Amino acid sequence: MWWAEALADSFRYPASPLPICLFRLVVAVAALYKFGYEHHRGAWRWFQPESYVYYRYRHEHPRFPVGPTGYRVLYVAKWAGAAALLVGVLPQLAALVLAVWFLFELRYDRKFHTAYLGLCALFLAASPALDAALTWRTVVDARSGGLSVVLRAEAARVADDVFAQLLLMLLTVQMYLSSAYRKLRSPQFMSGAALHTFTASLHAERHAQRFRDTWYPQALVRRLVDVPQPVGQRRWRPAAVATVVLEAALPVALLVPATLPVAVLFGALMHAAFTAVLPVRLVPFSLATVGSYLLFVDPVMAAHWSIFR
Amino acid sequence: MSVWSAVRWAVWVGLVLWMLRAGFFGPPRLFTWPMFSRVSECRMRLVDQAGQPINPWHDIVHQDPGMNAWELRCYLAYLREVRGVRATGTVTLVDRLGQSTLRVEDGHVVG
Repeated sequence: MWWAEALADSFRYPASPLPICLFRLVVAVAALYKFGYEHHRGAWRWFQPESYVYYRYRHEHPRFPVGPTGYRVLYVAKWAGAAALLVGVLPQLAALVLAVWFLFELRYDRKFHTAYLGLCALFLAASPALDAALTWRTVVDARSGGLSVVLRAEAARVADDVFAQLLLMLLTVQMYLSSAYRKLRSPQFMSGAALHTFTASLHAERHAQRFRDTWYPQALVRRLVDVPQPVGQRRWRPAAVATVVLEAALPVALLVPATLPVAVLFGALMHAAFTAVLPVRLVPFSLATVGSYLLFVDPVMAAHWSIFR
Repeated sequence: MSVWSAVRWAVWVGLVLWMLRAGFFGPPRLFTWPMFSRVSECRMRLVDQAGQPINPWHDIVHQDPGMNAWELRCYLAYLREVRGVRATGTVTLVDRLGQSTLRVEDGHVVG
């Protein structure tokens, strides 16, 4: 297995930069999507003096003062960082700026998907190969030399430092294992009660919400959401058990080349189901986690992906 | 082994240990991933001094149903201090310990 060889050779492996550069694009798109829908929900004004978000932040973190001006500076920087990461301009610095933003965001809105995106950005910043492929230069060169020629040349490049790629793989593996373990230890999750309560309360309050997060089909509402607690939790239990089994099995399946395609399929299906529970908010998380599967592909094999031939 | 390589191994081993500790032991923190594993719900039925309903969904960042007792007190304090609203009504909190209904009067939890 290529990652074991890379570890044995102190994070060195003759790798194509394509997987990590593709993942750079995925993280940038996920960040831009998240920033876009949060901007639509008024994020630019969240640190106004009259805002509850700012009030709560000041009371929770009195010794970590970021005022309205500092927030807006960081706000502009996060957009610039995500755009720069997408087009590959100073990508390490752009990834670092994004990581700083996401870690700051955790101070006023503690969400696990934000932590995952922040850590992805932080580890991406450690890769020297981020601008080796699929950047603004790819587009410029393609106009003169043809896209297939440029992509082939980029795929043929070799960057033997895979430290960042291995860190990102470790993050995804640890995230799934920790999630499976914490869920397994939670009677509320394993009984189905947590999933039923979450969906039922969001659905019940949907008309009060200024920005909705859920659009459940009527059939699903009748069967799983708008039902008494004991019935709902019994019906959600198979989904809860399946989630834990998949999350526990995915890391192993991703690490073994023979089972990688199956892991990609089941992982994508699982994240599609998560995203259906929270259709707006979980899109960036699902993009980043499923996108991280690219990193498990042997980087030597990645150079031969047909799209780049 | 070069110094650079040694530094990388130190980072790697440190991260693995941190991930093990945070991921599997102790309270949630960075590198802990207990998504959806806890029951958490907060149903507010509050009105202001004029009897107009208060909608907390307009103030919070995300449309999360969960708000614990600390967050509830913080929100009531925000309504009092920033908006000049003294809420009255009931709040039902659901967490892993069960369900509790709190009475709110004049902007404070009273029982």
